[in-house]
Amino acid sequence: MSTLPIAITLVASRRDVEQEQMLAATDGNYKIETTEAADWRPHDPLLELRFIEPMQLVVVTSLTHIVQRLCDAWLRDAARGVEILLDDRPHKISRLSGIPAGYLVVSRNGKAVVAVRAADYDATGLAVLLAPYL
Amino acid sequence: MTMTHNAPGHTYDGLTATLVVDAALATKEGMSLREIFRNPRELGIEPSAVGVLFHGAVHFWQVFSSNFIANLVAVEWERLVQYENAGTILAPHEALSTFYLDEPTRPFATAQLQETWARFWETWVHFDDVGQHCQALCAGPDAAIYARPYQWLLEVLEGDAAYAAWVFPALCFHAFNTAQPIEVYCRAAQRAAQSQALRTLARVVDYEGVQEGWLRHWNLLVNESVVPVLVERGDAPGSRGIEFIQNGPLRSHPIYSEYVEFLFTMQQTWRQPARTAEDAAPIATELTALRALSNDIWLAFAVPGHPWCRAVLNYFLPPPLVHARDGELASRRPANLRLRESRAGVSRVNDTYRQHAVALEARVQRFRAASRAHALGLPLDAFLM
Repeated sequence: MSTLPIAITLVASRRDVEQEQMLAATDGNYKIETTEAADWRPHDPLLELRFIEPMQLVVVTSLTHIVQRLCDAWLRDAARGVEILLDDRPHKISRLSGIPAGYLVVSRNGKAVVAVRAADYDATGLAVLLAPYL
Repeated sequence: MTMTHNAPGHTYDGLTATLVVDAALATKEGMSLREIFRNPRELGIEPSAVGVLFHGAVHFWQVFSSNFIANLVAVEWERLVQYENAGTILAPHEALSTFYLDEPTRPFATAQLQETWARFWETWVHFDDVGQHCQALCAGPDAAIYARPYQWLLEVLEGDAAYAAWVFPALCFHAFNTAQPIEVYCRAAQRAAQSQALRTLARVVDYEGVQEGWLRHWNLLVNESVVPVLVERGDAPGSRGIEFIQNGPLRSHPIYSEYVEFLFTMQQTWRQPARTAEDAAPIATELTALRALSNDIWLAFAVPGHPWCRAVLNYFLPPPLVHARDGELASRRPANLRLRESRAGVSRVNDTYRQHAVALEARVQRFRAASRAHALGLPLDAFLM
């Protein structure tokens, strides 16, 4: 798996962001460059997720670390899946885009280019899957 | 596994009418939401959790009192029914698409006004002192989401916090019974700012207390601020959300449709003093006091944070199901419905809304998964494997 540095924008709740900040404090290969409030609205109208305080972080890390975070935390979330949006630079990884739990979607212009069930992939498989995009 | 059960943080879902409170509520077998709302401090529940509970309850009650909000739920419910019956996903209804739009021509989005309306009452549960309330409402970390319309009102009223607290409920309540809540809210706020009669009365209200002012001077407040705007716009006297529930797609909603029965009981009990002892003995004091002020039950929906109104609404219309960290609180279904089902030979009559709500959550989860897949250009069952 590639350990070359890449930047991503992670969109997540404040509570999730605190987990990332804890990781960054102990792992020199996982650097948070910026943290700010995210401009976000719920995908499911009528569903109010309160107090999640959507945040976005620019993280400089490697594909290896991203895959590790996907496997260890983001895809294990019992409430929500993950969407990787290729339209922005850096690419955006959103945990708040209404993807059902246990699924990973890579999208461009709002349409899925990859949609998989996380349980069908181990870390190596995910790295191979995502390498062309990240 | 349902999305709402596992939701991180507090969640209110208008489509299922269920609430997730990410805190312990000291739930015990047989405990009801009525007890929690009545005695939160004695039960040792976190104040923030009580606030969230109340915020969710206000949203729930808004569906019955506001035709605008009931319509939002109804159009989304229609999409769900269409998916279940025909296997197709309709485009999101324009009413919901525009609900979140922060257009340059408007000072805020309609969704922000609805949220501020609920937050106003949530905050009032904690701070019934006007200054503290204003500070808590406007200075929180999420004030951009939950307070912008109130900050705007404060500017229009030249920073008069007591005046703003007094007029805000009337503006919201009536604005959300029109097709254009933002326009009506803003124009009625300008009216309030210019009204000498209201300014004079506001000094009395400042002395009596805002809570007294809502109940005692409600009609004058509405007549001076909102009614002229409704007349200028040609708005017909407002139908309420309840009429949308009774006459539209929400007739097939398993929870909202049944709550119509609760609302009828509330109406009958409110209007017939003799029924109070029979139907509402625990809240007889509050109900008697409110009845003396108005024969209109909608006063309670307009001022749900007033302690009397809060007690009455929570007694008659407690939200159907709350998921908490330490268990669930389910409200009991109307007795006459259960009796009717029993007589009709229904094999298993549900006493509470737990089963109704859990089954509904599963339906909504399937619909949302299909809807999200559709938006991404995937087969509708992409997330249902």
